[in-house]
Amino acid sequence: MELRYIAAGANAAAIAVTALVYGLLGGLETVVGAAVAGLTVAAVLIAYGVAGGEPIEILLAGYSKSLSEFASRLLEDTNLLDTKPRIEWWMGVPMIVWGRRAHAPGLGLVDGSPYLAIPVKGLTDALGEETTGIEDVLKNLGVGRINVIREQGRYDIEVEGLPKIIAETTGLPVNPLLVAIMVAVGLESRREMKLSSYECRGNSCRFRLEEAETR
Amino acid sequence: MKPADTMLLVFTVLACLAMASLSLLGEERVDVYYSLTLLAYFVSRTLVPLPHRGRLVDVLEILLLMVFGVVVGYRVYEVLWGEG
Repeated sequence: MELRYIAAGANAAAIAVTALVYGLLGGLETVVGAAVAGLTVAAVLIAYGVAGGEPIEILLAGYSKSLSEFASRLLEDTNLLDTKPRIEWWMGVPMIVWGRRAHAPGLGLVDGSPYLAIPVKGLTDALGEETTGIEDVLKNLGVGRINVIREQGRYDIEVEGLPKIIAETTGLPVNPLLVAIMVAVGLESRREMKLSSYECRGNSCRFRLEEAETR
Repeated sequence: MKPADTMLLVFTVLACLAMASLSLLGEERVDVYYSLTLLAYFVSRTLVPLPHRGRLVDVLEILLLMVFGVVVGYRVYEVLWGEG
Protein backbone atom coordinates (compact mmCIF):
# COMPACT_ATOMS: atom_id res chain seq x y z
CA MET A 1 0.00 0.00 0.00
CA GLU A 2 1.39 3.41 -1.02
CA LEU A 3 -0.15 5.95 1.32
CA ARG A 4 1.08 8.98 -0.62
CA TYR A 5 -0.87 7.91 -3.73
CA ILE A 6 -3.96 7.30 -1.60
CA ALA A 7 -3.59 10.73 0.05
CA ALA A 8 -3.19 12.43 -3.34
CA GLY A 9 -6.18 10.49 -4.70
CA ALA A 10 -8.34 11.36 -1.68
CA ASN A 11 -7.49 15.05 -2.10
CA ALA A 12 -8.31 14.94 -5.80
CA ALA A 13 -11.58 13.11 -5.04
CA ALA A 14 -12.60 15.68 -2.39
CA ILE A 15 -11.99 18.58 -4.78
CA ALA A 16 -13.71 16.75 -7.66
CA VAL A 17 -16.80 15.91 -5.58
CA THR A 18 -17.09 19.53 -4.41
CA ALA A 19 -16.77 20.74 -8.01
CA LEU A 20 -19.30 18.12 -9.14
CA VAL A 21 -21.90 19.23 -6.59
CA TYR A 22 -21.28 22.88 -7.44
CA GLY A 23 -21.51 22.17 -11.17
CA LEU A 24 -24.70 20.12 -10.86
CA LEU A 25 -26.41 22.67 -8.61
CA GLY A 26 -25.38 25.57 -10.80
CA GLY A 27 -26.04 23.77 -14.07
CA LEU A 28 -22.44 24.37 -15.14
CA GLU A 29 -21.61 21.60 -17.62
CA THR A 30 -17.96 22.66 -17.93
CA VAL A 31 -17.43 22.31 -14.17
CA VAL A 32 -19.19 18.91 -14.16
CA GLY A 33 -16.92 17.72 -16.98
CA ALA A 34 -13.78 18.84 -15.16
CA ALA A 35 -15.08 17.19 -11.98
CA VAL A 36 -15.63 13.87 -13.78
CA ALA A 37 -12.08 14.05 -15.14
CA GLY A 38 -10.85 14.81 -11.62
CA LEU A 39 -12.74 11.81 -10.23
CA THR A 40 -11.13 9.59 -12.86
CA VAL A 41 -7.66 10.83 -11.85
CA ALA A 42 -8.57 10.25 -8.18
CA ALA A 43 -9.78 6.70 -8.90
CA VAL A 44 -6.52 5.86 -10.68
CA LEU A 45 -4.37 7.31 -7.87
CA ILE A 46 -6.32 5.46 -5.17
CA ALA A 47 -6.22 2.16 -7.12
CA TYR A 48 -2.44 2.43 -7.55
CA GLY A 49 -2.09 3.34 -3.87
CA VAL A 50 -4.14 0.37 -2.66
CA ALA A 51 -2.49 -1.99 -5.17
CA GLY A 52 0.79 -1.54 -3.25
CA GLY A 53 4.44 -1.00 -3.99
CA GLU A 54 6.57 -2.05 -6.90
CA PRO A 55 6.42 -5.84 -7.41
CA ILE A 56 10.22 -5.98 -7.35
CA GLU A 57 10.27 -4.23 -3.97
CA ILE A 58 7.76 -6.70 -2.56
CA LEU A 59 9.93 -9.58 -3.81
CA LEU A 60 13.14 -8.07 -2.42
CA ALA A 61 11.52 -7.32 0.95
CA GLY A 62 10.46 -10.97 1.29
CA TYR A 63 13.87 -12.16 0.13
CA SER A 64 15.65 -9.88 2.59
CA LYS A 65 13.44 -11.07 5.47
CA SER A 66 14.10 -14.73 4.61
CA LEU A 67 17.86 -14.11 4.47
CA SER A 68 17.77 -12.25 7.80
CA GLU A 69 16.00 -15.18 9.42
CA PHE A 70 18.47 -17.63 7.89
CA ALA A 71 21.53 -15.61 9.01
CA SER A 72 20.04 -15.21 12.49
CA ARG A 73 19.56 -18.98 12.72
CA LEU A 74 23.18 -19.48 11.69
CA LEU A 75 24.33 -17.19 14.52
CA GLU A 76 22.18 -19.12 16.95
CA ASP A 77 23.52 -22.51 15.82
CA THR A 78 27.15 -21.36 16.02
CA ASN A 79 26.74 -19.76 19.46
CA LEU A 80 27.57 -16.33 18.06
CA LEU A 81 24.37 -14.64 19.19
CA ASP A 82 26.11 -12.81 22.04
CA THR A 83 28.95 -11.47 19.92
CA LYS A 84 28.81 -7.95 18.53
CA PRO A 85 29.17 -7.51 14.77
CA ARG A 86 32.03 -5.56 13.19
CA ILE A 87 32.62 -4.19 9.76
CA GLU A 88 35.94 -5.40 8.38
CA TRP A 89 37.69 -5.29 5.03
CA TRP A 90 39.00 -8.44 3.42
CA MET A 91 40.98 -7.91 0.18
CA GLY A 92 39.06 -4.69 -0.38
CA VAL A 93 35.72 -6.41 0.23
CA PRO A 94 33.74 -5.00 3.17
CA MET A 95 32.21 -7.65 5.41
CA ILE A 96 30.03 -7.68 8.50
CA VAL A 97 31.61 -10.17 10.88
CA TRP A 98 30.33 -11.92 13.98
CA GLY A 99 32.90 -13.79 16.08
CA ARG A 100 36.66 -13.92 15.54
CA ARG A 101 38.47 -11.94 12.89
CA ALA A 102 37.38 -13.51 9.61
CA HIS A 103 39.78 -15.13 7.16
CA ALA A 104 37.31 -15.05 4.29
CA PRO A 105 33.62 -14.36 3.69
CA GLY A 106 31.19 -17.02 4.86
CA LEU A 107 31.00 -19.32 7.83
CA GLY A 108 34.39 -20.48 9.10
CA LEU A 109 36.63 -21.36 11.99
CA VAL A 110 39.67 -19.57 13.39
CA ASP A 111 41.55 -21.50 16.08
CA GLY A 112 38.45 -23.59 16.67
CA SER A 113 36.19 -20.54 17.14
CA PRO A 114 33.46 -19.96 14.59
CA TYR A 115 32.82 -16.74 12.73
CA LEU A 116 30.19 -15.56 10.29
CA ALA A 117 31.28 -12.98 7.71
CA ILE A 118 28.69 -11.52 5.35
CA PRO A 119 30.26 -9.71 2.40
CA VAL A 120 28.37 -6.51 1.62
CA LYS A 121 30.24 -5.18 -1.41
CA GLY A 122 27.04 -4.93 -3.48
CA LEU A 123 25.45 -2.84 -0.75
CA THR A 124 28.46 -0.57 -0.22
CA ASP A 125 28.76 -0.02 -3.98
CA ALA A 126 25.06 0.88 -4.23
CA LEU A 127 25.02 3.11 -1.13
CA GLY A 128 28.40 4.68 -1.87
CA GLU A 129 27.24 5.84 -5.29
CA GLU A 130 24.07 7.50 -4.13
CA THR A 131 24.81 8.80 -0.67
CA THR A 132 27.27 10.99 1.13
CA GLY A 133 26.66 10.02 4.76
CA ILE A 134 24.80 8.00 7.36
CA GLU A 135 21.86 10.39 7.32
CA ASP A 136 21.47 9.92 3.55
CA VAL A 137 21.42 6.14 3.83
CA LEU A 138 18.77 6.26 6.55
CA LYS A 139 16.68 8.86 4.72
CA ASN A 140 16.66 6.62 1.65
CA LEU A 141 15.32 3.81 3.83
CA GLY A 142 12.36 6.03 4.73
CA VAL A 143 13.35 6.56 8.38
CA GLY A 144 11.37 9.44 9.97
CA ARG A 145 13.79 11.04 12.45
CA ILE A 146 17.55 10.54 12.48
CA ASN A 147 20.06 11.77 15.04
CA VAL A 148 23.75 10.99 14.57
CA ILE A 149 26.36 12.05 17.12
CA ARG A 150 29.95 11.68 15.95
CA GLU A 151 32.67 11.67 18.54
CA GLN A 152 36.27 10.58 18.16
CA GLY A 153 35.97 7.07 16.79
CA ARG A 154 32.42 6.67 18.10
CA TYR A 155 28.99 6.99 16.49
CA ASP A 156 25.74 7.25 18.43
CA ILE A 157 22.78 6.86 16.12
CA GLU A 158 19.11 7.22 17.04
CA VAL A 159 16.35 6.51 14.55
CA GLU A 160 12.61 6.92 14.98
CA GLY A 161 9.62 6.34 12.74
CA LEU A 162 10.94 3.26 10.98
CA PRO A 163 8.89 2.02 8.01
CA LYS A 164 6.79 -1.01 8.95
CA ILE A 165 8.73 -3.34 6.67
CA ILE A 166 12.01 -2.48 8.47
CA ALA A 167 10.51 -2.35 11.97
CA GLU A 168 9.24 -5.92 11.53
CA THR A 169 12.80 -7.30 11.33
CA THR A 170 14.61 -5.23 13.99
CA GLY A 171 14.10 -8.05 16.52
CA LEU A 172 16.37 -10.36 14.49
CA PRO A 173 20.12 -10.36 15.26
CA VAL A 174 20.81 -9.85 11.56
CA ASN A 175 18.43 -7.38 9.98
CA PRO A 176 18.43 -4.89 7.10
CA LEU A 177 18.55 -1.80 9.36
CA LEU A 178 21.55 -3.07 11.32
CA VAL A 179 23.37 -4.03 8.12
CA ALA A 180 22.57 -0.68 6.49
CA ILE A 181 23.80 1.26 9.53
CA MET A 182 27.01 -0.74 9.79
CA VAL A 183 27.67 -0.29 6.08
CA ALA A 184 26.90 3.45 6.26
CA VAL A 185 29.23 3.93 9.26
CA GLY A 186 31.92 1.82 7.57
CA LEU A 187 31.62 3.89 4.40
CA GLU A 188 31.80 7.18 6.26
CA SER A 189 34.60 6.31 8.67
CA ARG A 190 36.55 4.02 6.30
CA ARG A 191 37.63 2.13 9.43
CA GLU A 192 36.85 -1.17 11.07
CA MET A 193 33.93 -0.44 13.34
CA LYS A 194 32.27 -2.55 16.02
CA LEU A 195 28.68 -2.38 17.21
CA SER A 196 28.92 -1.87 20.96
CA SER A 197 25.22 -1.50 21.76
CA TYR A 198 21.95 -1.91 19.96
CA GLU A 199 18.47 -1.37 21.35
CA CYS A 200 15.10 -1.28 19.61
CA ARG A 201 11.67 -0.40 20.99
CA GLY A 202 8.67 -0.33 18.71
CA ASN A 203 9.72 1.56 15.64
CA SER A 204 12.68 3.40 17.13
CA CYS A 205 16.25 2.15 17.63
CA ARG A 206 19.56 3.25 19.15
CA PHE A 207 22.98 2.14 17.96
CA ARG A 208 26.46 2.80 19.26
CA LEU A 209 29.43 1.91 17.08
CA GLU A 210 33.05 2.24 18.09
CA GLU A 211 36.31 1.80 16.31
CA ALA A 212 37.29 -1.87 16.52
CA GLU A 213 40.65 -2.78 18.01
CA THR A 214 42.95 -3.94 15.24
CA ARG A 215 44.42 -7.30 16.01
CA MET B 1 11.89 8.45 -9.28
CA LYS B 2 10.06 5.12 -9.39
CA PRO B 3 8.39 4.11 -12.68
CA ALA B 4 4.94 4.26 -11.04
CA ASP B 5 5.67 7.82 -9.83
CA THR B 6 6.68 8.82 -13.36
CA MET B 7 3.61 7.20 -14.90
CA LEU B 8 1.21 8.84 -12.46
CA LEU B 9 2.93 12.20 -12.88
CA VAL B 10 2.69 11.97 -16.69
CA PHE B 11 -0.96 10.92 -16.41
CA THR B 12 -1.88 13.72 -13.99
CA VAL B 13 -0.12 16.36 -16.11
CA LEU B 14 -1.78 15.11 -19.33
CA ALA B 15 -5.20 14.91 -17.66
CA CYS B 16 -4.85 18.43 -16.22
CA LEU B 17 -3.76 19.79 -19.62
CA ALA B 18 -6.75 18.13 -21.29
CA MET B 19 -9.10 19.39 -18.58
CA ALA B 20 -7.78 22.97 -18.79
CA SER B 21 -7.86 23.02 -22.60
CA LEU B 22 -11.44 21.75 -22.76
CA SER B 23 -12.60 24.20 -20.07
CA LEU B 24 -10.95 27.12 -21.87
CA LEU B 25 -12.61 26.04 -25.12
CA GLY B 26 -15.93 26.06 -23.29
CA GLU B 27 -16.59 22.36 -23.96
CA GLU B 28 -19.79 21.31 -22.17
CA ARG B 29 -20.03 17.60 -23.02
CA VAL B 30 -19.05 15.62 -19.92
CA ASP B 31 -18.16 12.52 -21.93
CA VAL B 32 -15.45 14.44 -23.82
CA TYR B 33 -13.71 15.26 -20.53
CA TYR B 34 -13.95 11.64 -19.46
CA SER B 35 -12.74 10.25 -22.79
CA LEU B 36 -9.72 12.53 -22.92
CA THR B 37 -8.78 11.67 -19.32
CA LEU B 38 -9.01 7.99 -20.16
CA LEU B 39 -6.92 8.56 -23.26
CA ALA B 40 -4.34 10.38 -21.09
CA TYR B 41 -4.25 7.35 -18.77
CA PHE B 42 -3.60 4.81 -21.52
CA VAL B 43 -1.07 7.10 -23.23
CA SER B 44 0.79 7.36 -19.91
CA ARG B 45 0.67 3.58 -19.46
CA THR B 46 2.18 3.17 -22.92
CA LEU B 47 4.85 5.85 -22.43
CA VAL B 48 5.92 4.48 -19.04
CA PRO B 49 5.44 0.69 -19.07
CA LEU B 50 4.95 -0.81 -15.62
CA PRO B 51 5.01 -4.39 -14.37
CA HIS B 52 1.61 -5.91 -13.57
CA ARG B 53 0.16 -3.99 -10.61
CA GLY B 54 -2.41 -6.46 -9.35
CA ARG B 55 -6.08 -7.26 -9.74
CA LEU B 56 -7.44 -3.95 -8.43
CA VAL B 57 -5.79 -1.95 -11.21
CA ASP B 58 -7.03 -4.51 -13.77
CA VAL B 59 -10.59 -4.15 -12.43
CA LEU B 60 -10.32 -0.35 -12.52
CA GLU B 61 -9.09 -0.38 -16.12
CA ILE B 62 -11.92 -2.71 -17.18
CA LEU B 63 -14.45 -0.47 -15.42
CA LEU B 64 -13.03 2.68 -17.04
CA LEU B 65 -13.16 1.00 -20.47
CA MET B 66 -16.73 -0.20 -19.86
CA VAL B 67 -17.83 3.35 -19.03
CA PHE B 68 -16.01 4.52 -22.16
CA GLY B 69 -17.88 1.85 -24.17
CA VAL B 70 -21.19 3.09 -22.80
CA VAL B 71 -20.27 6.68 -23.72
CA VAL B 72 -19.29 5.67 -27.26
CA GLY B 73 -22.43 3.53 -27.59
CA TYR B 74 -24.59 6.44 -26.51
CA ARG B 75 -22.92 8.75 -29.02
CA VAL B 76 -23.38 6.22 -31.84
CA TYR B 77 -27.02 5.79 -30.85
CA GLU B 78 -27.45 9.57 -30.84
CA VAL B 79 -25.94 9.91 -34.34
CA LEU B 80 -27.97 7.06 -35.83
CA TRP B 81 -31.30 7.45 -34.14
CA GLY B 82 -31.21 10.50 -31.93
CA GLU B 83 -32.97 13.83 -32.36
CA GLY B 84 -34.97 12.70 -35.37
